[in-house]
Amino acid sequence: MGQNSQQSALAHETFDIVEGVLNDITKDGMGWMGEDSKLILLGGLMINIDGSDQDYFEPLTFTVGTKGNTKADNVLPKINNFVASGTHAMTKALKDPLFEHASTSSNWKGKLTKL
Amino acid sequence: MKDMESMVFDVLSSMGVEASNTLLAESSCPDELNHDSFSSDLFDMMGNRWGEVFHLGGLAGIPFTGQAGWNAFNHHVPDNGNILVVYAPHVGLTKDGVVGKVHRPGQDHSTSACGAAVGAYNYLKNGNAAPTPDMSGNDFQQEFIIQEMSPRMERI
Repeated sequence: MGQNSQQSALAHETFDIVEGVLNDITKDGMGWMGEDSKLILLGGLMINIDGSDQDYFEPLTFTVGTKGNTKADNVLPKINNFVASGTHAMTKALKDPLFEHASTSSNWKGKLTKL
Repeated sequence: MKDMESMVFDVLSSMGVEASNTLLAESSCPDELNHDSFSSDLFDMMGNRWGEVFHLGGLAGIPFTGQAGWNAFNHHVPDNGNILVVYAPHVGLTKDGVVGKVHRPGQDHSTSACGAAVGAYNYLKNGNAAPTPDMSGNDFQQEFIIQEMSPRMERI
């Protein structure tokens, strides 16, 4: 596995740890919910870019839970459709396979804008 | 990032989830990289949109405030209101396309991001055994990360 793929895998494993702890905490503490209450979980990877370039958020989880429902609604497609539309081209471009590509590119920004 | 923040808001507002009936929590790494622009960092933009923020996170974005922190936070929710939790470990990306590194202002070299996750990975990669997190010690969070990362090393 290349260096960039390893770092990408590390970031995703870290995300799994974060999400696992969060799920443990929230599932045992639902007493706050009223009849109309919602628990919204928005999770992903924050990609910090050098210098003044703005950061990018790679969404991985977006769910809405309600009282008494054991399974939360998955609303991730509502923003993934947006990402896939190309409006958020950088997030689209930074999906794992292209992380590897990025390591071989001397100017990844220029290449990514063509995607 | 503003587009993403706006899209999330649009999805939630269509469900009646608004700043007036919702409390925001975030679980992010304390690294200053995650809060260095009020106009373009997702966490900061969401704080501006949704109002007060309860911080759940410690190193690597793990919600180390735990059950006690969660229970304290959820007692602050408006009656019949909602909770929005945004959580995201971070990873650097240099202009040269190196993942896991970032060039910080004023430095002539790149450094690790997330340093805690990379540190745990390097510790284990060098053959060190995962420690049992020492509640009385000064490095509990990092020891917890190493312990959690240990069984995952074969996938990295």
